[in-house]
Amino acid sequence: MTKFVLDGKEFEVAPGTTILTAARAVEIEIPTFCYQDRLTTLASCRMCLIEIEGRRKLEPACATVVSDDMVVHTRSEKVVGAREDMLEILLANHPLDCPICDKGGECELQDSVFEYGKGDSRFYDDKRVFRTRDINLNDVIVFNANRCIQCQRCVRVCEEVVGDVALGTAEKGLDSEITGVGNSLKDCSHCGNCIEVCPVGALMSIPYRYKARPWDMVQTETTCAMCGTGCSLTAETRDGKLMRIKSNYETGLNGELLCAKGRFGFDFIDGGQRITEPLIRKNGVLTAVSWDESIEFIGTAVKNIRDTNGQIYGQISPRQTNETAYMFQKLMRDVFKTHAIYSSNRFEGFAFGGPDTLQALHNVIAHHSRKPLKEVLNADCVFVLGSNITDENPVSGYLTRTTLRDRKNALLIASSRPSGLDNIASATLRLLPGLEGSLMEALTKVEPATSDKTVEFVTHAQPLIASANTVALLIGTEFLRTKNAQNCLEWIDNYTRQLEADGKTVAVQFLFDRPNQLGLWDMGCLPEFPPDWRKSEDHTPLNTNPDMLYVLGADPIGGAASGSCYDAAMNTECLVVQDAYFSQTTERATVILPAPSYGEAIGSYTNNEGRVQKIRNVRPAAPNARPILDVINAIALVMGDRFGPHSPEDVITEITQSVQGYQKLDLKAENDMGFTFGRPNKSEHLVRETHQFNAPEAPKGSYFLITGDDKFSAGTISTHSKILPSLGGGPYAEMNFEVQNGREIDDYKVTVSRNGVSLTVPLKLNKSFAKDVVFIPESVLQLQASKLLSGPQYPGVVDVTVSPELSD
Amino acid sequence: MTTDQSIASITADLTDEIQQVAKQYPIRRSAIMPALYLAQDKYGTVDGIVYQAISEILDVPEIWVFEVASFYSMYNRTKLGNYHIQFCTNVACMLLGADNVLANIQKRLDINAGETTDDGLFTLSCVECIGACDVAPVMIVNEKYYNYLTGERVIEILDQLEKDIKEAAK
Amino acid sequence: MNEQALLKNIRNPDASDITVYEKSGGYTGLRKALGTCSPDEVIEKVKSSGLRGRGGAGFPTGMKWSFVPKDSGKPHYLCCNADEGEPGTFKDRLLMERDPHQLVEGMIIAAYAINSNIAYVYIRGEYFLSISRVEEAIAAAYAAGYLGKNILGSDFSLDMYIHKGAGAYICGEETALLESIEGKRGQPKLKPPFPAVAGLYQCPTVVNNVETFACLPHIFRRGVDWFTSIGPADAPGPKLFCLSGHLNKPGVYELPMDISLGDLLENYGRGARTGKFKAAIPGGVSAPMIPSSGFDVQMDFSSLAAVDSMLGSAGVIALDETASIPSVARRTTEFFSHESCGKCAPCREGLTWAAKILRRIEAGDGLPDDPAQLEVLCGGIFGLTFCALGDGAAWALRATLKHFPHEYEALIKNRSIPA
Ligand SMILES: Cc1cc2nc3c(=O)[nH]c(=O)nc-3n(C[C@H](O)[C@H](O)[C@H](O)COP(=O)(O)O)c2cc1C
Ligand code: SF4
Ligand code: FES
Repeated sequence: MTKFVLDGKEFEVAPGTTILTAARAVEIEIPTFCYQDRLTTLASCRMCLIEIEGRRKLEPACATVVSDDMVVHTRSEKVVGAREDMLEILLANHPLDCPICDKGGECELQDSVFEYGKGDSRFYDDKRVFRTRDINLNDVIVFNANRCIQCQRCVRVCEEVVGDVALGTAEKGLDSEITGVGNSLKDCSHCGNCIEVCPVGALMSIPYRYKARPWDMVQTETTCAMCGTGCSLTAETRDGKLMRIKSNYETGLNGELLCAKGRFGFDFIDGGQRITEPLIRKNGVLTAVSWDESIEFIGTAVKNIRDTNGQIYGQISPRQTNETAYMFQKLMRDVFKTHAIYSSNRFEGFAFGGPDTLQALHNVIAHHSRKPLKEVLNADCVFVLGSNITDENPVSGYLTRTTLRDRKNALLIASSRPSGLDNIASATLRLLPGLEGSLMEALTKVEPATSDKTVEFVTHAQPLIASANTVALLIGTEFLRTKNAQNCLEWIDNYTRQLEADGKTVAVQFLFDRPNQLGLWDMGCLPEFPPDWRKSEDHTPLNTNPDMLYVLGADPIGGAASGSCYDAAMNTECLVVQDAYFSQTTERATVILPAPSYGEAIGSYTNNEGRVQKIRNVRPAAPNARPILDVINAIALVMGDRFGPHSPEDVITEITQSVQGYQKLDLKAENDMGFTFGRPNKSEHLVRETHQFNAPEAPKGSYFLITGDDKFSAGTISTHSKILPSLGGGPYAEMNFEVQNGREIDDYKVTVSRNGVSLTVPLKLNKSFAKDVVFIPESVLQLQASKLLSGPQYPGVVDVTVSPELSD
Repeated sequence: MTTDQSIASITADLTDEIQQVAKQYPIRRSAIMPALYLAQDKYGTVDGIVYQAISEILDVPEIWVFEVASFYSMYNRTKLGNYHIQFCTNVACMLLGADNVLANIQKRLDINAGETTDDGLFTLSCVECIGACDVAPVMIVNEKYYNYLTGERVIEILDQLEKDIKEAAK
Repeated sequence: MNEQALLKNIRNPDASDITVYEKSGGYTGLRKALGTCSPDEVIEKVKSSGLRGRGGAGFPTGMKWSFVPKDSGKPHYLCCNADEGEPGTFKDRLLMERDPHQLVEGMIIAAYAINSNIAYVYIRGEYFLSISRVEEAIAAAYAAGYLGKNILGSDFSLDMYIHKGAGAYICGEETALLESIEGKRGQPKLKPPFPAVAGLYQCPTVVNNVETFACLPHIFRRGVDWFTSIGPADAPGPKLFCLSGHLNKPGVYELPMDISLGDLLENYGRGARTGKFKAAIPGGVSAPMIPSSGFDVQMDFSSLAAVDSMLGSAGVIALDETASIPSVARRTTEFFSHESCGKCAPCREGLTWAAKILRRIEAGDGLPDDPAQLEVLCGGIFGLTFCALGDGAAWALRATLKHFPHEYEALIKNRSIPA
């Protein structure tokens, strides 16, 4: 420990601590502009200058490491004077247009001047004006150069954290100006983190422009609904209308970071077509009915099915809360007498192996390291498997880049899609989904018997992993779509155990593309596993042709166009849908029940880290959107079952009693309700020495179609946003393709076809893709050609023609 | 310049030379400055399409190329005249009458600093010290230094330069 | 005339030819260093020679080299700072244009000492002739076996490349120079870590000035004792002084550093053109000016520091009585504000502000409290900037306010300079 004196008091800090960090830890405020945790230290704004006894010059607190017996003054006359000087100098050219500036009221410069400034300025001369009109750098970011104080936080966050390198600085000296290529932002993820980190009103959000003032808005802390990363965010509303999403340095695993989906996609709550009243299909026509009638109808239907030993399926969306999920499975198991409970019909891999696959899932989930991603990323070797992490879980990707960007040989990536982290990876491999297990297997072999590229990757990776004491596996869920799901799960389990047997500490975390997949599973929304992964007693074989499908918040028909819930939805006599929005599934529904949307109810999500976090309502529920718990209770009641709990408090109490690790769940809790822990897995894992993987083969000339979320989509809800779909520039197919000399990429169109269905979209060239793979975002397929995905095999084999259509 | 230039043609022109110079450095980014010089030697100026081509050849973000091109004053982002006059106005030259010489150049060419004559013959730039203070006032025209300038001498030089180029054109 | 070492061959038009250079003893210093010394012994010799950097700060060269870690496991880099941009300075240009092999030989010795196999010569882009002369010299050195693999049969190898600057004074600051070689905007890097530990590409790096390197062949050829016999004890060896401004005989002079400023101006610069000096800037425009009453100061690092100025680049600009101090201050401040890299607020914003005030004063629109305001502004810049550019600018401006307040007052009051 290092001892030093700060403003007259002695402190001890860890060696290497900067004066700024040490001071902030004891709540001595030192003003800063350019400093920001997570970013490289610049020490250029000179606001944080402090006095160290024995040194001639003032030193920047942000960049000066405490040393033994250092005597530091943060409030000496010299320091105070320097701060006044810095602020006066910064204001010399800063326009005093606070009344019309979007940042007014939350501007760091304004606050600092108030706190540390001298009060008057002696600057009589004209201020520098870059231009009188602001520039729209793209559809969400607008720039006012006159206000910029050159702290370079935006440029650094863009390069060091997001990895885009879209922003840079033009010219030098007083002419220095933040910009993108040709005053627009090429290769921009539209994450808006540059806006968030801007201390002044230089970079601003276009959707929020001139809409409101910080003090006019109501702030609600909640958790993002887009993906499993589970970022904390603040929704700001005025009169119940969403104005803006902000992130906050102090909260969540994300701190100040969000991605485009989180920051700009929240407006989805105002999109889509809301269901406003209960509906029952009468003579083929959906007819408005009372709540009582609809519940009576469902009750009778369920009773009939139960009496005739019929089969009911339930499907719940992984965007539903833990509380809802718990009650849903309870309704299914206890009242509907079924254990056919599904959550994501994209994970069709579960269907192939049945109970064995789910057992394999449990083996991996039991291993799921439920601790902060930040901690997990500190491993000597981080292995991202089967995920385009920067598109599907962008903020997880940002955090990974932040932690690993300066560490050589710490990151390995094997995935079907290239990701934004490839450029800092020690090795990357393009791997078809479903082959993750075979890669794990190859890694255990002295001489792996696989393709050349895999061998190359494995030979590079083996020594890295061998020399690592701690290994982290971040696993995407794409392989759960494939027939090889079980094999992959077994090999992931097997490989992790082998690493542990070698004395390594291993952390495994899933990278879920939905916000509450882990929570749903913990709550028992799985056929084989009731809450808390207790093995089910109920092994009744499932009838593949159910008499009823009860869908809560999901859209099986608009989804993958295949799989058990899709088949059920297409064929069942009784399709019940409880949802906030109309969907492709409601078009076939027998009964439709309106539900509150995300943002209209409270509850909790369990993120990829296994951390339970609060979601809160930012506005009251729509008039007829009856709380889901109410409806579940009402259905149980008409069936005469003794059922409960009835109140949200009691639901939470029951969960805390029956699911391990959820003890901190509390209706009144703050955002973070701690880490859950998985039920230790006593069952034997399956070690198979060799295994035959069904490596899919595409006939010559055809391609594998893969799908998933991109930077601007997260399943159906993201299509309800007004902003998000426009940011990606519309539908596209991404692939690696030799563009003819002299042709521009914009000329190319791709037609993907299969079984008589085809889709033609613009080409997005990506040289990092394998040559026989084409990617189309799931949100595009769902809206336009979900049938391209149908069939038992994922990735499906499709025909692709690329046509150079000259757009002249 | 590059109106009739495409990324493909610039890439064809410059890839070999740029790759060659890139070998002098352990990282590709270092080759941005020499690459911009190579482009400028070839086309006279550098602009958006050149940045894009260099970014592709070196596989670096385009904004990095633009940042460099705009930070350093010797990358010409606008078209220059046949003669580029870099006139030193720094202290040593100033003390020996540079202001007066400059005024004469401006009058003779009828342009201000930073401008190019209508006939495209001369571009006038005022520059900082060019390391020839002992023979001040000085200017560089293209790559040649002119020393001990006076109001009269500079007119003679300009006249001569104009004559030279008109003769060469014949 | 003192003995000339660095400038000995400067008037020989063929001095840049390697055979001419070799005939006058060139590359024997390298042979001695490589043949008789280990790298550590080379560093020791340079330390005992007392050689101090000629680029501006006067840092002891041998000591700088000794900071390079011995076992970093990373490549080491050597860079020559040939970005000479300090107004009033033109000695490096002379060395490179006329006798470039001194530089090349010195760099090879330095690279050997710090165990570097790659060296970059960062030459400012405007020095067209220097660039081609050094280019030719490097090529000739390769051909003669002084560069490349296994130099002179040793197991020491070195590649040397030129990196052309492109017009940015700040790239003379050593860390900005490194950023520039890395292909970035030339903005200074945070110190510590110092370049010797984490410089170019985060690897141990030494940066020295052209003239510093040029001294090395002589030290090894003629011995440490010869070097220390020249000039004052804490500033030994020959030094190049660049004389410009209102002088009868401006130029580059090689002299020991125990010469006084007055001596230099009167006996070498042959006095003021009008016969009477007002002041002189002793070390490039970053160095605060010294009024003629202080001309007896000795031109070495510590003596100049003692009078609140510096030797800097030894670019001496003489101002005779016709010079307007506020105009000189305005022009230098404009220079610094124009060349500010823009990284830190006090330099970027403060200097432009100061330049605005100075322009106003010069134009006759000055306000009575403008000099006071300039003083306050200098206080907000000096000592608070990220690198020495802003510091130097404020320091130099302050000196004009301190020594010639009446000129400012007169301009503001009477709108004219007192005679
Ligand atoms: C703004 C600024 C400009 C500088 N310009 C030069 C220069 O043109 N040439 C030079 O050799 N040193 C220059 N220096 C000094 C260098 O930073 C560095 O101290 C020097 O190159 C080290 O070499 P030396 O030890 O041989 O003197 C400059 C420093 C500053 C702060
Ligand atoms: S003092 Fe000036 S030149 Fe130095 S870092 Fe600051 S802005 Fe750049
Ligand atoms: S916060 Fe330390 S210099 Fe900006």
